[in-house]
Amino acid sequence: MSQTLQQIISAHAGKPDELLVVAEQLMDHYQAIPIAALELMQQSLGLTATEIQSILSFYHYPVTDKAVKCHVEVCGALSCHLKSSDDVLKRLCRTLNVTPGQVSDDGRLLVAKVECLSDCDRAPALHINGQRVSAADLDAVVKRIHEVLA
Amino acid sequence: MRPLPTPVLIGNPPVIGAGQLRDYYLGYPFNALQKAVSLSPTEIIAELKASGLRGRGGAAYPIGLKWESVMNQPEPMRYVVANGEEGEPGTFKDRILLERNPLAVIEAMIIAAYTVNAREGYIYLNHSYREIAQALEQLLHWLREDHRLGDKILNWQCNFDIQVRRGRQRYISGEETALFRALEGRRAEPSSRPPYPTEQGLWHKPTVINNIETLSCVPLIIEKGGKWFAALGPEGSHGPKLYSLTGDIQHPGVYESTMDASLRDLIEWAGGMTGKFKGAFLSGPSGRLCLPDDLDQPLTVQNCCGNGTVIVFNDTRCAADLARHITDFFFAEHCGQCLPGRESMKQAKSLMDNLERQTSLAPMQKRYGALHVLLQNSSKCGLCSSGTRMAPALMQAFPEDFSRHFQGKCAVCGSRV
Repeated sequence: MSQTLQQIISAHAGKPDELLVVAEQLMDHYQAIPIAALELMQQSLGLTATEIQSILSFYHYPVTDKAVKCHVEVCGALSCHLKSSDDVLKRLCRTLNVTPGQVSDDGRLLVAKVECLSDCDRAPALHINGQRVSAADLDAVVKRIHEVLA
Repeated sequence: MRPLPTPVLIGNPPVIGAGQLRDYYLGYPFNALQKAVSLSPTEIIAELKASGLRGRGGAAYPIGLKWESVMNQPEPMRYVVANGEEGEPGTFKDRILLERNPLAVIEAMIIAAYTVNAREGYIYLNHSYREIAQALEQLLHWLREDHRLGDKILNWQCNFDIQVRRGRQRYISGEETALFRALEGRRAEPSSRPPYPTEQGLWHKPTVINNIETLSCVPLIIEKGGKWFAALGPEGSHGPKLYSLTGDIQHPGVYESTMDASLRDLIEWAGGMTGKFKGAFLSGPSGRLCLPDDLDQPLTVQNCCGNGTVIVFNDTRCAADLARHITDFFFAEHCGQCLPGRESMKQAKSLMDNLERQTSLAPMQKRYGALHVLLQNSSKCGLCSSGTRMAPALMQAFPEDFSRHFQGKCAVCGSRV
């Protein structure tokens, strides 16, 4: 188990109320929740597997055994819907040959529709690893994704 | 065109992401905080009451009453929470505020802590506000170094500190009691009221929870006086208000005005519509449908301006597509905790999914409307009842858009047959 994973989780040892803090830190670092983190969270935070799965699934955290390198979030909320975010998502997934919400076959890319990134003035909103990216030029978005994956 | 008023809340240029944070911190006067600690908590609450400030997150509860209620609780442990979840589609005013004047929020939280004798505070942010969270952490660090946070701060000789938390995208997390559960590391499932957050909030202790915009108003009130604030805007809708404007508009953005501004004013300030105005969602898809006849009504609390979100749509938009999208959103985002919410949202989604199999609108409109009433009367929180308000309103206003779908063809949005 990687040292960073242990460091992130053990920093909150004995504090079950900080599960979501841990989850956000894992997302920031790994772009998804590594499956290996679940058991360590049980031990460190004193929560059962059921409790952890119940909470993580409620918040739609992606849990995977793959090493996701690039997490693309495409906002599907109303202001972005009016700016054809559905079309952006479809075209992006077709170009990258991925299914929305599922980690790619090589385990490195996740493209997901999310609800409200609060970037409504820059609709359609699109984030790559938490960074705002303009969706006006999809070729540029795809290029940026390949740069992250490289 | 009515001139856009000079802003008082978002007059600063952005300081986050612009490399200006340290200069901004060093130049911030903390006048309101210095004045606040020379007043008694009762005097502070009197100013807030005199200001007429109502919550800017949508519920419009008077802030003076809220803080007073917490102050008067017998339980000694109290909390202060800033709600920056901002999950309502079309809403980003709090992001703009935090990018331009984050210290106003922190200053307000310290004033709140002084008033209600709280020891711990939390700023809960939308998941995507990473850069804002980092900047807030830096500001809090500098504040601790300068003894404006932490142990025995200011003349107050009491302890108060603030933590920043980001929450995953779940719309329901913006509901106060659900937000408390998220801070506690649990599923963001709302609680029944009573008890109210002022009585049993975070960790079931009395809690002041206010929207970011609401808190941003507090330093202005303390520094300039409640009467000054109350003089801005019409009766019952005092003070400046931020409107997040998006949709079929030339220049989407946040516009600040007093609440006597109309929808027409906002649209003009934003450079006009793209296309012809058909309607707008006031306070987002959970709010109120505005039609052309409503263009000149003032966007007041009484007229349900809510959180000030305005999503405008033009005459190329299909109301059935909008109703379907809104239903899908609330179906996906409801927490599933209560039976009325779970079953009603399932049925609402089924009605919209089967739109093209209907032969007339009236039975569908009646059924959807009945679900909304049922939810108003029996669901645990207001999410699902708010979420089922807009589709019947769209059916009422634009029956022809739905009728196109009954015929199996909608040239506007495409239909799912």
